[in-house]
Amino acid sequence: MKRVGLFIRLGLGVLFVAASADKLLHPGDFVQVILNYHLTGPAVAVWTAALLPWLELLCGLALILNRAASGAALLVALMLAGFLAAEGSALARGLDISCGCFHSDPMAKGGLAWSMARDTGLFVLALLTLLRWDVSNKRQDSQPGQ
Amino acid sequence: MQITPLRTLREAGYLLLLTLALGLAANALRPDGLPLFKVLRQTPGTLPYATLSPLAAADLLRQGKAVFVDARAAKYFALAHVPGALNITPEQAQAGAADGLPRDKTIVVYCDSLACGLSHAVAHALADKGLTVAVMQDGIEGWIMTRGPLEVSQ
Repeated sequence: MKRVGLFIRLGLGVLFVAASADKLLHPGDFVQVILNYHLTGPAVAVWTAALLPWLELLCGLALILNRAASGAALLVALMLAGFLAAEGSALARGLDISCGCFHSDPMAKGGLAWSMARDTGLFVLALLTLLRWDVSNKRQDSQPGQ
Repeated sequence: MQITPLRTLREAGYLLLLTLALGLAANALRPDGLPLFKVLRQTPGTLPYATLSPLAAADLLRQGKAVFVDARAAKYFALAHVPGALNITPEQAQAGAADGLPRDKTIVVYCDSLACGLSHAVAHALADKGLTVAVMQDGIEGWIMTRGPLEVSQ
């Protein structure tokens, strides 16, 4: 069970580091990706494009290195909830756009339903990572002399 | 060390603060940094350019009152574009590629479709230079749907 938890934490960490790379290199393109959702104005899009990739990178590294990992797992779960809401909204409005999860090509199209399925799985894994600490805390509490 | 909800929130707070510091510092250092504070000064809810339907844009083209700008990447522009359109991406617009555009005509900017944000980015850059700008909101897809003429780059 401990190994499964380790695997999930490392997997989430590597995925989030990988997701941040292209966006960090091309923030201007990532602004367009965000604007493609037609959910925000330019100001929110520009600030999100400047900060979100760094948050993904730091959370990914925190999960890999197991430093501030519970906080990182919480932020990863919140980010994934936000991504799911944005993707669901775009799907409901019939927008033919790409989620921009692992790249920043504003001309890319399609695959939103698949992105939602993947992000739902990742969201569950992020919650499991959070719960794992909760379970380990309860075990610690139940041990005598603790 | 035991992990409590309070500690989780504190760690998340530290990560958010570090994100803010790194994001602002990296943006300030890179030559193509985003205009983080300039966008905050813009009045929300007001656009410095108009929006046009493909039919209204075609009317302007027929009357010789418009210059079309295709905001898509060069490879997509080469496949099909509005006849006579110039290819100016957001990066090129920021770099001054639009300096020769006429001030006595409407610059009609378009990209792929309604979902595409490139045209708005170029329109913002051109409007900042004092040009009269309109976005053809339905993009090249809307233009094709209304049987607008197309040109292919050789």
